[in-house]
This record gives sequence, C-alpha cells and structure tokens, in this order.
Amino acid sequence: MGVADSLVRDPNAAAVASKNYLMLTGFVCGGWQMARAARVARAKLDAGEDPGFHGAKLATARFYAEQILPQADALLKIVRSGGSSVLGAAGGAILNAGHEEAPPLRF
Amino acid sequence: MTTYLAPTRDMRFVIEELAGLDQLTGLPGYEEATPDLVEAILDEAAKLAGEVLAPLNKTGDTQGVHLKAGDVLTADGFKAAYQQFVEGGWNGISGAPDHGGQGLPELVLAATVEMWNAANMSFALCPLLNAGATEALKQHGSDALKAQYLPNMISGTWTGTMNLTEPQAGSDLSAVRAKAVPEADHYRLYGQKIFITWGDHDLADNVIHLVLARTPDAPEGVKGISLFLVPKFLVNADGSLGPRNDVHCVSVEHKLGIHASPTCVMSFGDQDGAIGYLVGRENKGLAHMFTMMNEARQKVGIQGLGIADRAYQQARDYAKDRIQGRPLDQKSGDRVAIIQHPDVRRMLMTMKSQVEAMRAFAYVMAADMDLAHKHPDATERQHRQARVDLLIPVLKGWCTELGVEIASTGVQVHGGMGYVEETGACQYLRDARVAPIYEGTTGIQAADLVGRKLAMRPGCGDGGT
Ligand SMILES: Cc1cc2nc3c(=O)[nH]c(=O)nc-3n(C[C@H](O)[C@H](O)[C@H](O)COP(=O)(O)OP(=O)(O)OC[C@H]3O[C@@H](n4cnc5c(N)ncnc54)[C@H](O)[C@@H]3O)c2cc1C
Repeated sequence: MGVADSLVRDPNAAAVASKNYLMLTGFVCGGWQMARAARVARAKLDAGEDPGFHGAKLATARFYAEQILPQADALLKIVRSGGSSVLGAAGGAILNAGHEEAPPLRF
Repeated sequence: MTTYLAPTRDMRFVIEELAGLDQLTGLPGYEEATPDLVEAILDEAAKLAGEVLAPLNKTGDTQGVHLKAGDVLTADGFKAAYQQFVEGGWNGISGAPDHGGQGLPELVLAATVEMWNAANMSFALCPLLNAGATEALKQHGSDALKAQYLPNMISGTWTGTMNLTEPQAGSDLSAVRAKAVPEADHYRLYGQKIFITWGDHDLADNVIHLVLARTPDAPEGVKGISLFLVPKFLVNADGSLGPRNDVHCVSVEHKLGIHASPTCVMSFGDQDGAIGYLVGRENKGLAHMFTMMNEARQKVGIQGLGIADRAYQQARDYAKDRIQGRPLDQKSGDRVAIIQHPDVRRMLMTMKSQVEAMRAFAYVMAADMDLAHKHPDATERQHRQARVDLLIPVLKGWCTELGVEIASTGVQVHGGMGYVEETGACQYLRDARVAPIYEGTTGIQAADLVGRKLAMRPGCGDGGT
C-alpha cells in the first residue's frame, strides 16, 4: 500500500501528515522539472549551443539533486511515522504540560 | 536602491524547452504566440518591471497607504505606474479577445506575473485580484453584466476585488454572514468584510467588488452563499459613472509587509444598502468561486517565486561586494568577498536552484492550464485538468513557503545589514510572509491535496493500487 493510500484511509493521521506531504510533493515536482531541464541542457551542450548558459543549467540541476532534493527523503520518513505522536493522549500530554491548573484539552 | 533584472533568458528556456510553447501555438486562438512574439513581450515587460515598478517598491514600503475622508490614497508614483501598466495593455494580455483582451496563453501571463511580483509585490496584487474577479465574472456573469463591466476590468481602467473574508469566516467560508436582500432587478447588501486587498484606492476610476453574501431565505452553511457584483460607483446605462454606492473602506490594516497594498475593512450598507447584482445563480456562490480558484492560487504561488528571485538577485550582488574574512586555507593576505566562502555560495545556490525549480514547475503548470482549456482532444483536456487540479495546491503551498524561506536566506547572506531596512533585504521577507496565508493557508492547501485531491484519484481510497 502506498503512502497516498494510507493517508486517504485515516483522515486524522492524514491531516497530521498533509503539510509535509505537500512539501515533499513540491520538492519532487521541482526535481522532475530540473531533471527535464538537465536533459535539454545536455543535448544542447552536445550540439555546442550556448555552453555557458546550458552548462549552468546542468550544474544547477545537479546542485538541486544533491543539496535540495534529499529533503524529500526526510519528509517521507516523517509522513510515514503517521499521526500518533500528535493525536490522542500523546498530543494532549504535550500541550497540557505546564497548564495543570486549567481543565485539560482533550483531542 | 535595489534593482531588478527580469531573467528573460531563463524564462524563455522554461517557456520553450520545458513548458512546450510550440504545443500551444498549435491551439486555436494561440497562433500568434510564437517564440519571437513571446521574446518581445518578455523584453517589454522586463523594462516596465525593472524601470518603473521596481524603483517604487521601497517608497511604497516606507510610505504605505492612507485613508483620508473615506478614500484610500496610495504611495507616490503608484498612480502613474498603474497608468503606464494599463496603457501598455498589460492587464489584458490573457483576457478574452471579445472583451478587449489579447488572448495570450496563461504561460506568457505567468512570466509577466512573476516579473510584476518580483519588482513590486504590493503593486502586483492589484492586477492579481482584478484577474480573479474578472475570471469569476467572465465565467458566471450574465451577458448584460459582462457587457457592462468586463471591458473596463480587462483593460484595467476599473479594478476588481474579492470580498470573501469576514471576522468569523476566514478558512471556513461557510460562516459568511453578509446579507443580500432582493429589490427590483438588484439586491441590497449589508455587512462587513475584512482583509480586502486593494478594496479601495486612487489608481482607477471604479472598483468592482465581487462579494459573497446570503439572501434572506438561504440555507445555512456553504449551500446558502451567493456571489454579487457591487461597484464602488454605480454604472449608468450608457456606461458612464453614476452615484457613489453604499460601500466604503472604513479602515486599512497596519501589517508586516506589502505596505503599499491596501488591506481594507469594507462596510456594505451603512446607509440604505449597497446595490449589488447577482453573479451566476443564487446559493451557488462558493461553487462559482471555486472555478477561478486554480488561477488565483497559481498566481499566488508565482508570487513566492517572484519574491524569491528578487531576494536572490539582491543577495548575490551584496555577496560579490562585501569583503569579510579569508579563504579557509589562507591565514594572511587580502580578505575576500563573502561569495568566496563555501557556506555563502551554498546559500546563494540554494536560493537560485529552488527559484529555477519553482519557475519550471509553475510555468509547466501554466501550460497545462492552457492545454486543459484549449486542447482539441477531450481526453487530453481532461488529463491536463486532472493534473492541474491535483498539483495547484502543491504549487501554491510549496512556492509560497519556499518564498519565505528564500527571502530569509537572503537576509542571512547580508549578515547584520540584512536585518536593517536600508538594504531592502528584509522587505522581501516581510512581503513574502503573507503568501502562505492568503488565498487559502498552507494548511488548507495541504488538506486540499491530501484530503480531497488524493482521495479523488481513481483506485485510491477504495482498496486499489
Ligand atoms: C494581507 C492579506 C490580504 C488578504 N486579502 C484578502 C482579500 O482580498 N479577500 C478576502 O476575501 N480575503 C483576504 N484575506 C484573508 C485571507 O484569505 C485569510 O486570512 C485566510 O484565508 C485565513 O483565514 P483566517 O485569517 O480567518 O485564519 P483562520 O482560518 O482562523 O486560520 C488560522 C490557522 O488555523 C488553520 N486552520 C483553520 N482552519 C483549518 C482547518 N479546517 N484545517 C486545518 N487548519 C486550519 C489555518 O491554516 C491557520 O494556520 C487577506 C489576508 C491578508 C493577511
């Protein structure tokens, strides 16, 4: 079962994960386009077209792949950890701490 | 003063090589959008952005806007700049040709929207909101309303606004309470709207508000909301401006950024009720708004991209000139520009590479929007539309969040000078900060992506794949 499917099955866990899932998708969509840019740039370089410009495109895509895109791995790990540290008693314990005199918030 | 040079070469690379301009020039209505024409348009837009709009960015920030005797007055230079913007035909470049627009693809519009926002985000918000209002009217207005309002909104002589938010109704518009009471061939509107961008100003002759409100017998919740057009000045049958309508800006917000963009509290019907006209069908107001939401969210995503590029350009300039420290392997000798330090270079490249990734993603999405509208094959249209619907919340959420992060990195590159207003670096951070909030917060985009869009995929949520 893919991540997307498990998100759809448990709406509250999905709500916990959704911002990270959105950012993950953003980094991957950015990577998808940078890979396409790299492929075009490579072909133009091979054809000897504007090496300065296309060389920079290739280098930028490489930088993105090595220094930016791996954030998606970390985000995926967070998304996969589910929502139980936020939902229910565990989450309540975090936000109630220090407010013992007030009626406890229940989630 | 900081300059802005629109990266037209980079933009053309994305437009031609990644977003596939050649696929669009084959579509009906887009025949004229050839690479040569697009290049000419981008060069002209770059001039306006760099020479006219960018120099007003800082004065706009320091002067802000002022409410005087019920009228909002904008910062020095904005009125003349807007005049130039309208005279250049920039407002209508993607507008419907039968109402005076030039009918160019969303893809070309996307590049100009990036430029306006990079140059001057406060200014750019005025046409951005006008575009949303124009689209809603175009899709759902009666022929009579369209004939009376669209040409001036497309030219930019009048500007449109979106009046959705009320104090108790922000992310959750089902709580909208503004009232609309039918009377003869129109309605009378009563109530208060808050946070209305460019809700009143002195740049244009008339302001056309699109307003969400409830008719007296409307059902509770989202199914009881209707959309109305409420002009600041009523319009006579011959098209001339009539008396002032009963809608007023009662205050403007003091905010973190976009100081030159008025954020208005609007009051409807303080005297005898603001005259408004129904757009589309009663109780379908939210559904009507949804049909223009992709375009609006896409443009706000592009704001994140634009401001990030502006922040990058300034940070790179500064890093070339600022002398500090020596290379790691040299204990003596000349000190170097900070761009020589690996960590500073990494920061700049982080900014630049993400700007390029955002631009490619945003423009490819824009081309998908064009193909979804105009592709001759219905299956292909559906396929493109499905991709747009799925990914627009990602574009909006990701680009606006990165816009803030990149503007913040821009401050960091400047060191202490980044934290003082003089350099301009912190204005980008302050301005960028609103984009993950309005037009649906990042939380709402994420909920839309995961809760609605993924759940609607075929084979998802029903045990498939
Ligand atoms: C400068 C500026 C300009 C604006 N321009 C306009 C305009 O022109 N027209 C207009 O109509 N409005 C405008 N707005 C209003 C803007 O669209 C709202 O501020 C925005 O939609 C958020 O609503 P809210 O402020 O009520 O926050 P709230 O809805 O109270 O949200 C507060 C927090 O709770 C989260 N949240 C709320 N509901 C949920 C939920 N169901 N699930 C998960 N998280 C949730 C949000 O993500 C956010 O983090 C503008 C706002 C600003 C600041």
